[in-house]
Amino acid sequence: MAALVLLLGSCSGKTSAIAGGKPEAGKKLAAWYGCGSCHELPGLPGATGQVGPPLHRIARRAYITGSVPNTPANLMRWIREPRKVDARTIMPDMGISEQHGRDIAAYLYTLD
Amino acid sequence: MCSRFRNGLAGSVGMAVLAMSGCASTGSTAMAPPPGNMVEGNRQSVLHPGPVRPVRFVRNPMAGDAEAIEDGKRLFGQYNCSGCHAAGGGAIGPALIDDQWTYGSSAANIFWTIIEGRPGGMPGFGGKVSEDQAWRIAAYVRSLAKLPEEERPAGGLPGATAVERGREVFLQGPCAMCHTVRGTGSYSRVGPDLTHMASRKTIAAGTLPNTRGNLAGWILNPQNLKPGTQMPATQLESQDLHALLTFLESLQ
Repeated sequence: MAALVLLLGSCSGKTSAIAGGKPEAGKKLAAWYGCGSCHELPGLPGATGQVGPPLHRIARRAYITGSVPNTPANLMRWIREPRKVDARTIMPDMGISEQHGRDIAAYLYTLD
Repeated sequence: MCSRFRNGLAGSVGMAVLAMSGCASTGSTAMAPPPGNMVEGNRQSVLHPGPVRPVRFVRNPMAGDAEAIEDGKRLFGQYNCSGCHAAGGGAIGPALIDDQWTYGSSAANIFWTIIEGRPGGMPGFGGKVSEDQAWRIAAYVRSLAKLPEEERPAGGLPGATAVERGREVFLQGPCAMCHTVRGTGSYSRVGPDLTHMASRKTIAAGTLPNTRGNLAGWILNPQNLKPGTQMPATQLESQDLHALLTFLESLQ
């Protein structure tokens, strides 16, 4: 895990840009908000959703949502206010706070 | 007690019927099937949980079409609706010319009544009547009761709040066929009563926290979260889903 984080950090700078994001907290938040009802999240019990795309290795993707570059800022915005990124998306706005969005994004970037 | 049990049983059959029909495949939902090529029909003798086909939220495509009423009149005779409803005055089945509507008077309500049938006698005509024909019959039935023409522009009611739009989705879509929200005119007992939905801590029989995200996943694809549940998947346009979620979250 540490190696992955290091790798990501050195290659893309994504993890370093999610300053203050706590992956462990993000994992618990992802479970509570119910990301797994629509998405597959490896390592998260019950997160077998088949409504949206699986989130394996999301840190390595060039684009997210089919439309915006995969940057920490875009990912956090998407998590918090998806309908402001894409008005036609089925993904609901869940009232996620900035810190929670940061933690969830940090967690998602650890997924293998 | 006995009659409640009977209602429950009949309701369960209705649920299975709902589950069995809906659209023929995921791919076909983007566009309406051609007239005469109806989605698979009801099999009222089959009752089992398991993978179910999604049910769509439907909008009335015949609003304001005078010809549809004429066609509906012809079809009403052709499919022998009068066998139970007489010329609208009712006999074995309820009257259609009064203002009593057990399962709702909107074109979408009547559409579902025709396609899926209703507990206690009304058979589902889903295998025999095409969707196009069902809308025409619904238009005619509404004209019998002298109900005003519906305007139902895509995207919901202009000017309505999200809660109002969501209530519309709930009542016009398949939700109200199985669930009750007291005060809205829905009172089916097939699925849980959702009158205080927002006060619940969990959904899906206690398996998921009652959050907007879980609720969305549950509505859109319940079989994946709880294999064997009788709740069928529902296919909604994203705007309709968001409005529906807002409505459900307003039910304290």
